[in-house]
Amino acid sequence: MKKIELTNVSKSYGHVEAVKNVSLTFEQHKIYGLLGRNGAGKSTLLNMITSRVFPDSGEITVDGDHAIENDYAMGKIHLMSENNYYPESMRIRDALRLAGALYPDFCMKTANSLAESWGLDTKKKMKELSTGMNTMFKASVALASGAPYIFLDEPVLGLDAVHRDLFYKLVVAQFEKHPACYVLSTHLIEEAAGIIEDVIIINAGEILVNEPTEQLLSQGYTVTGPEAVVNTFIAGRSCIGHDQLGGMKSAYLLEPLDGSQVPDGLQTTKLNLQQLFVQLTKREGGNGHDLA
Amino acid sequence: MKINFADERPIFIQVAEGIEDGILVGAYPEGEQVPSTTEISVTYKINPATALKGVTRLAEEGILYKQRGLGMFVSQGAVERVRQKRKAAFSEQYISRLTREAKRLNLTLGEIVELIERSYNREKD
Amino acid sequence: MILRRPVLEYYLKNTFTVFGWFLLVYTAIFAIFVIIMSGVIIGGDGSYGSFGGFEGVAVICLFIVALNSFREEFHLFLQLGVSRKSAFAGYALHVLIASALIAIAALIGDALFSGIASLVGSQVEVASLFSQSYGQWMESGSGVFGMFLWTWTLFLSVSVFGYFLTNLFYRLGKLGKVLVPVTVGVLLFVVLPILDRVTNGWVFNTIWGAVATIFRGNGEIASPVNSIIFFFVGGVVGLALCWLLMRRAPLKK
Repeated sequence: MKKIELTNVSKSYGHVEAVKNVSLTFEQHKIYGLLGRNGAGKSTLLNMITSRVFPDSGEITVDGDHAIENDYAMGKIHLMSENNYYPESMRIRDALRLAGALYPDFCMKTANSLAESWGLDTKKKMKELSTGMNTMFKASVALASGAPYIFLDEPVLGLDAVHRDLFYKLVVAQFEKHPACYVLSTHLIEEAAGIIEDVIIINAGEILVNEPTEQLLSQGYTVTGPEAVVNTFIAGRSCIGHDQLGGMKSAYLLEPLDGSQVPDGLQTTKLNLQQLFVQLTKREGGNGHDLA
Repeated sequence: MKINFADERPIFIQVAEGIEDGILVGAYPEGEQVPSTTEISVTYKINPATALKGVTRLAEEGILYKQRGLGMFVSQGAVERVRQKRKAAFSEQYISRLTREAKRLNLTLGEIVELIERSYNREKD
Repeated sequence: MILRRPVLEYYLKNTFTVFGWFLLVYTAIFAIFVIIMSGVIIGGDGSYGSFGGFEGVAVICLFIVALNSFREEFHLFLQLGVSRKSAFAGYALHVLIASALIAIAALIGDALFSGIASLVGSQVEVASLFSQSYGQWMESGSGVFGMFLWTWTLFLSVSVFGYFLTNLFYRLGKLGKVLVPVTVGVLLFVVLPILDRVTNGWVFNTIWGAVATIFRGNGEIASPVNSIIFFFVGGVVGLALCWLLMRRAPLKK
């Protein structure tokens, strides 16, 4: 019963349909991946869930309560956005204090220990923060918020490899400590693929994929080999994309692998999440084949 | 343990096998505790549910057992059990792959055997 | 959960912090003024200085604060899970409280500064805006209370006006931001004078009459009652308009 539920939610900006009739559920005790290209409707979706923007139609509920403009529901959700919406001259520690006053289960100890892990100076003002520090600050607020639903939109912006590594570990550790619903929306898919339990792919305002990661990946594979052999093999199968290097072709298939059916000349490998995402969401002709 | 996201096998299997490897080489002795799912998932940046699935599978196979409030421990006789399990899978996991690749390279059975002998003698320990 | 204490406290803290600075500046200028007047013109040659009441400064201060009270706060509160309803309620309550407290501070301040000025023997007179306008009315009974009400509602309406402007401009698109000031300017400085010319002065006369009725009243002596009602209603209507502007405002980058 505890979940965020979107039912037939739509939103347009002028002529552009940013979100088209989307229905989704976010349950407790799970880490979701919300993946989508720029302009796919991810941010609009997240903004509607958190009342920042109003849907044109459809219903959004949090644990059964209407979500829009409802303090009780909004207090259960924290969205870490790409933008920093705190006043320029506000210091980190004051922002943390205010967050603590507004989120009923905010944990200041966690916030401070996270800031320490990042090496963040809490006396700094928002305008003094670099992109990386900004991200670290916002992530600290999100992970310490105590909210049952935590949305992280592009949560590793500006972080170097070491800090990104630290981020994913902090998320997992916090998830174990505070098993809420975490939704990770990121462009760095392979990095985050391991921690994502359920993957949701949104493309051009519509939901393409919504299932457990493991299930999705087990239903796909890549065949590589001579072009003719590959073409014969993929005829009639659900091929979602391909790459070609001279006479060697790789085809991406979204169906369970039956090893016995694969002819000798072809190699099969597992499809990884990022590849799958690319193949499913790239536009025809936008795959760089003609770049070389 | 090494989690390879590009590997054929699902992550939870890799977790299970990683623990089995540890048991085989003595890093996780019988009767001792194995790393918690939190430790595993944080270290390898994987979902705790996945880590749990791997550990649970080993528990179902009797290789690990749960001690209330403490965690998962290596069962007595686990080493032997893992060895047996690996032996059973050895044929499909290693032999079939070897013969498939060898055939691709047009090696004869005699050549394959010779290569195996050479490799075995080299890796004396 | 419509009134959330942290929201109210945040607004109050912001306003009073800025007000504190203005107070400091005002006091400094006042001190300098008094020193000059008493030190330089000892014994006096008949000239004396008149120092404007604190209300003028407070009005400017409150207006500027109000102009800066929307955008950052709107973003901040939405970020931290506060509905527009609650953010607005917090602002509205804060503006009622703050303008009342600052009004009291202004009146106390005027009396205080007057006292100090005369103590120092300087010929500086501190006259509050109210006593300058409604001095005679003050003598008839509820003078101080009337003074408080007038000052309070003045501050209220000025604040709300500033808040309304910033709210309006947040909602307007690029086109609107140009169109509105231009339209208002044209109406005030082009259309109105033309209409006045056409009606042989009737327009400006009526306007002037209305202004006089509001700020002076219709009696023998200048009465603040009408302006108190005007300011208060203006403030409330302004707040209502602000809510209408705010209730469906989308978060912009």
